[in-house]
Amino acid sequence: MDKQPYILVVDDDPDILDGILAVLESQPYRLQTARDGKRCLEMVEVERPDLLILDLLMPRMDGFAVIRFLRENPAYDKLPIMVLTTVVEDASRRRYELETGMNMDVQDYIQKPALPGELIRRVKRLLEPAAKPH
Amino acid sequence: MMNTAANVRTPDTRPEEAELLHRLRQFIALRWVAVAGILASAATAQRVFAIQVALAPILATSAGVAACNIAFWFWARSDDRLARTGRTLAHAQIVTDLLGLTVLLHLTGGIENPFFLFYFLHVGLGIILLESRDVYWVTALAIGLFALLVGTEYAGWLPHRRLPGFLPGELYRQPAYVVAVLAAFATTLSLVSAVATRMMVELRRRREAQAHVQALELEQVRQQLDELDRMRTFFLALASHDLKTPLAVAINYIQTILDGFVGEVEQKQRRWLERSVVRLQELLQLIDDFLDASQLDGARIAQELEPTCLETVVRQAVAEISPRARERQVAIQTEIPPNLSWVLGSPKRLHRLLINLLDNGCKFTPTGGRVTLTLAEEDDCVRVDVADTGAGIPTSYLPHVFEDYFRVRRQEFIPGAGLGLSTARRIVEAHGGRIWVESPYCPGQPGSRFTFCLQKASVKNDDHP
Repeated sequence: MDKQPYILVVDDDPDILDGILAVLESQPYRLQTARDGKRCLEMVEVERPDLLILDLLMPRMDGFAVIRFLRENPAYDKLPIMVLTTVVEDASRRRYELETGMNMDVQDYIQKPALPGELIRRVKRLLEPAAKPH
Repeated sequence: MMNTAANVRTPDTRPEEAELLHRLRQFIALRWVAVAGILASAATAQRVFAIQVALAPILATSAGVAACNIAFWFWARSDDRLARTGRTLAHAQIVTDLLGLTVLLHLTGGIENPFFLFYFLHVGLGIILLESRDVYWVTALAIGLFALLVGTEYAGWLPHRRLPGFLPGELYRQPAYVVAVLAAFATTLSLVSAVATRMMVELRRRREAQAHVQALELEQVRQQLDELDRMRTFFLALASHDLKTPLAVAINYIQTILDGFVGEVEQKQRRWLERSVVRLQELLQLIDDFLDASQLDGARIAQELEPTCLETVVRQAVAEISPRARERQVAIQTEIPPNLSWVLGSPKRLHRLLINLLDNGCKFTPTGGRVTLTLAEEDDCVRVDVADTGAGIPTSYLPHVFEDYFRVRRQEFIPGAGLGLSTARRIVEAHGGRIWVESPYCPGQPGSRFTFCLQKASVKNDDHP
């Protein structure tokens, strides 16, 4: 059965969520949104997404903590994550390393603003069966 | 992030060790003076005071001490060997000195010779050189040797050599005198040795405690610096996030409209929206430049230096700048000699440096102009020239172009914060180099040429795949 890929988009800024949805809704995906890291993890527990699009700086629980939680949990350590943030990649990686002593294990990192065509292309690539570990 | 290796000492260079090795060599040198002193005092006693001493055995003993000293000198020549066997050499030197002193005393009147006070000197040297436990052995050895000498002479087992002309009578046979001297000698030497050793131990302990406290303080300061660095990175990330997010949203919306995700856009609307995106992108770039400049830390860059293929960095930078150059109709040329040496650099920072210089060249070169990037090998560095065919820089502005926020006044508006060249200068300086500008660089032709040199790494281009 050909199911639509399920993408969970997490960002505290409703305008950014709307922007991403406006672009990705043009594609055959099933989309859900969360406004912070805690809600994101609750939703991941309920249904495992095929791709997590994650902002880093958010209230309640930030993206760094979400990545750390997922990567330390064997059930989710292979869940594809695309970071979508305004933070420069270098600075994020340094901070993650400082806080956890580990490399930030994410499949893609896009610095906002993500151009619509570029976003679609990179989401498609992460959802390709070959890109999936299982 | 911080370099901690500097605080770690290797075991063979501990200060106490280094001090011991230094002292051992000093004592070997002093022993030559002592041998000369023995010979001089023997001669003085005979010639000046008319005391009859047997010169031949004294010479023989001095020769023996000198022979031992030559052996010590060879022993102490190699730093390695000395570091391994320093303590043994210290013991050997002190035992040799005590034996030599005892033999010399025997040859020059035994208990009647006041030079037995020299035992104090040798025990004193032992206190400086040895661990406190060993000092007690040396003290006991000194007392034992002297008592043995005095006792055997008293008992008549060893012939007593009188010093005719020095002392009347035969003191060495007076039991009260022998006992009194031996008792006074043994108690004084033991007490002096005990007190001095205690002081020495206390001094060493204090020094170690002080060193320990200093190490702790250093570690604390290092941790505070690390924490500050972490906070700074965090706050900059936060500031960058808050400044850039609204812009990112606006650009994203406009781009989504332009890409037709929310309906058709007519030609005129498209043109205005495109111009909005360009201006917003400029602002985004400006914020990045400000944050870059505040995060340019010479010490951090110095840690990032590694052998780098400059040719690769140049090609990437030119590829990145090309669309912008095409827009302005400025040609970008590169001149790279084959088999260029690798340089010592941070690829990421060199990329930024080249982008800044090329971007600067493109901005100030009119349509149809040219920006040329030339690499050239010099003795121990690779020279980089970025030359343009723009209007050039007025002479009065030349000393200021590398300052923060400095911009040359022009008729037309050219975007930028005035940080490109100051950032370039900081990067070059963090690489241990210097950047300069010539304008005009070619007689009779306008334009500017920026030049800097990068130190070569010790590998050649073709050594790398």
